[in-house]
Amino acid sequence: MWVVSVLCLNTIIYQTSYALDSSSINWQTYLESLIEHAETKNLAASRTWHVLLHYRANSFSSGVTSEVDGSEFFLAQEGKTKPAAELEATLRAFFSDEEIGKEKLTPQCAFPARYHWLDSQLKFNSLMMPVNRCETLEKWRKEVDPESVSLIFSSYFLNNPASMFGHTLLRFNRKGDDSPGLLDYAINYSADPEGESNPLVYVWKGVTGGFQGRFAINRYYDIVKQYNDIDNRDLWEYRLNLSPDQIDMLLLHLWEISKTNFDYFFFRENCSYHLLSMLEVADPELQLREEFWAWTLPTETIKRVSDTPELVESVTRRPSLSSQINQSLKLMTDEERAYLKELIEIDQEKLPIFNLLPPERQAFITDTAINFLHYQNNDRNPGLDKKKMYSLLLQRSQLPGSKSQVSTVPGLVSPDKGHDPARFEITGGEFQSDGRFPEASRKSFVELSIQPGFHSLLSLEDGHAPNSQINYLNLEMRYESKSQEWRLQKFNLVEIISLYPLNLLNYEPSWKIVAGWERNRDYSCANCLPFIINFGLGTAYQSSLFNREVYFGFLDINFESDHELNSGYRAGFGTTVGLLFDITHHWRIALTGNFKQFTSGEKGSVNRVELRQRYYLSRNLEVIFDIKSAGKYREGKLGIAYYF
Amino acid sequence: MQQYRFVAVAQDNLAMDIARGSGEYVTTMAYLEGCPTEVHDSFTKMVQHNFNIIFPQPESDPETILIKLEEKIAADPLLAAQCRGIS
Repeated sequence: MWVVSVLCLNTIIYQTSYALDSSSINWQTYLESLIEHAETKNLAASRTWHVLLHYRANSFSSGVTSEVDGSEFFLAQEGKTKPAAELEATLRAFFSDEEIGKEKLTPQCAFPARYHWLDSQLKFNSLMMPVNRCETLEKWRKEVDPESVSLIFSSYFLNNPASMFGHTLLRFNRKGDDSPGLLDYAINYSADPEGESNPLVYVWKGVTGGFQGRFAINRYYDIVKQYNDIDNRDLWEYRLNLSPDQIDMLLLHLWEISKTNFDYFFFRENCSYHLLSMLEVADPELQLREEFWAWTLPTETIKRVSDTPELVESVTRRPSLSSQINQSLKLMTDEERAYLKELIEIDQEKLPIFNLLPPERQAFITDTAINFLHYQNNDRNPGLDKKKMYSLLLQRSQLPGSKSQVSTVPGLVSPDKGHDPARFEITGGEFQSDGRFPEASRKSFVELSIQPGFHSLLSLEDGHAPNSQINYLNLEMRYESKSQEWRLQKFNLVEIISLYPLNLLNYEPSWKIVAGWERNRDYSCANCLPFIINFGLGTAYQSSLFNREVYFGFLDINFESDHELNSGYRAGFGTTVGLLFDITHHWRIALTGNFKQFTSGEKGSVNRVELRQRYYLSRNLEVIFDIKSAGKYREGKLGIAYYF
Repeated sequence: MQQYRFVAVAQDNLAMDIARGSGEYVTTMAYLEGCPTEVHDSFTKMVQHNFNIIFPQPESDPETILIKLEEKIAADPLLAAQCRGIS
């Protein structure tokens, strides 16, 4: 007891002397010594400092520039490009109690990650400098209270160009076994394109960095509602193996970075890119961003993280509403599906009673009907029948409680296991263009094709959106034996196909859009290279008679422009029908027929039939065998393609 | 306050989970009402049984839902003793 009181007394005396001395202690001298110490240790050149300030080496000159664009993030005038100046200004600011920024925080409280790291390097002496208490920060830290961090991948959403390639965000999993996951916090980096309704301006601004990007912090239930329920996207959760200190650093840095902004670039400096930089802050040893110099595809960042040894602890999937419903449908008998249909379709408040089934099955069918109405009734479709939903819920509440909710769908492959985005193809074959097939008229060719992304109808679907195609900047060159020269065969800007097989849930139309240059082989202009625009709207149906078959049909609008065409162009309507057929998981076939009637410009019609086959030797290697006929033109080719 | 925001954002899912007597939305609600894990099953059963009272009409507003819910918790001896609403 005595010892304790002496200790306490000591402390008090110590503090008093500190208080007496504080005005006379020369903080200035200590500050100068810290700056000198930092210079000796060359801290401004260290990886952690560069990561904290988001510096990146300049492409065309020496030096670095920070990716942060908000001026409030820098304490030195030239902080955006001068790491040493920023470090010195930061140390100086830590001796000031001037409140900065919108939230009126002292520099120590506004930049806690910098403070934490500089303290660890320079061993701040709290007696020689001011120490601020940061109450709002501490309160916030306690509220988020993370035990671990997950990287979340929200799967592809083809109906919005900004979400076609998926989206990523970070989730802080709160401490405590009983804390529900829905109350966790998530960090979402996104652009704020509010008020920009002109699509051309939207794209232009997106590409050139015209939007401001910011980190926003939401509850996970907000995220689940938006992505899982409204946009109907699966959420893949990659739980990361980070230490408590690393998580804390991430949290502190989030505090300082969420108050500023970046110029948002769709291609490279997008959501996924900046999340990688957040992970680098947690562990500066990680070098995740380096390989992304031109564009950052969310799937590729997921792969990059998954491929880092010991970084990912586990992967789980939160299925979207439609995934849950589809899975429930598979678990029902025909009789049960008939009940379900009745439940959904009957347009009255008095619902049919199906007492013959055991209560658990009644509950399961009612649950599925509720999910289905919820799916129809979300924010995309407000004002649907709320009364109907309510009577279903009332009826459901009379049935026994269930544990039968579908949470897993077997056989699904996570997005990090998908094929790589870029593709190189080499094929060789023969063609002839006069309709007969005499040996002499056949000519052989070799073809090279390269495309930076992303996924074709016939690509392996593991980890990708099914029944879809998003290709861009595909370049095809052909060498023909007769002409003995390389010629451009095709250069497409974009080629998107989105097939939505009809089922109980879905009656959304399928659609496609193609724009680019493609060499013609038809009635006139047999060798010209017109600029083509094609848009098609149609429908699809899926069966599983053999393995999986998808049938589709489109009504097309076509426009082609080339100076060799009469009047320089031709335009008209057309149809496309086709069948996608999986013989095995690795052997995929597409049969398509295409008819075009040109009614404007140079008139005429074209028929085209194509059979394409892909056999996958591994997830990135495919064997190709295609045959094609267009008018009198015939062609067959064989080759391989590699994804990288 | 936390409860109110949760109900306002997740009302549809909460109604679904309460009606079917299971799910993470109903567990989260129990947590927000300060009910310890041991009584979550009783909480879930109680709210399912009282669905028509907690959601008196097709489009109930979050305030009504919360008031009715907390009345029902107060009326249940076990839950009233165990759950301490966090605000």
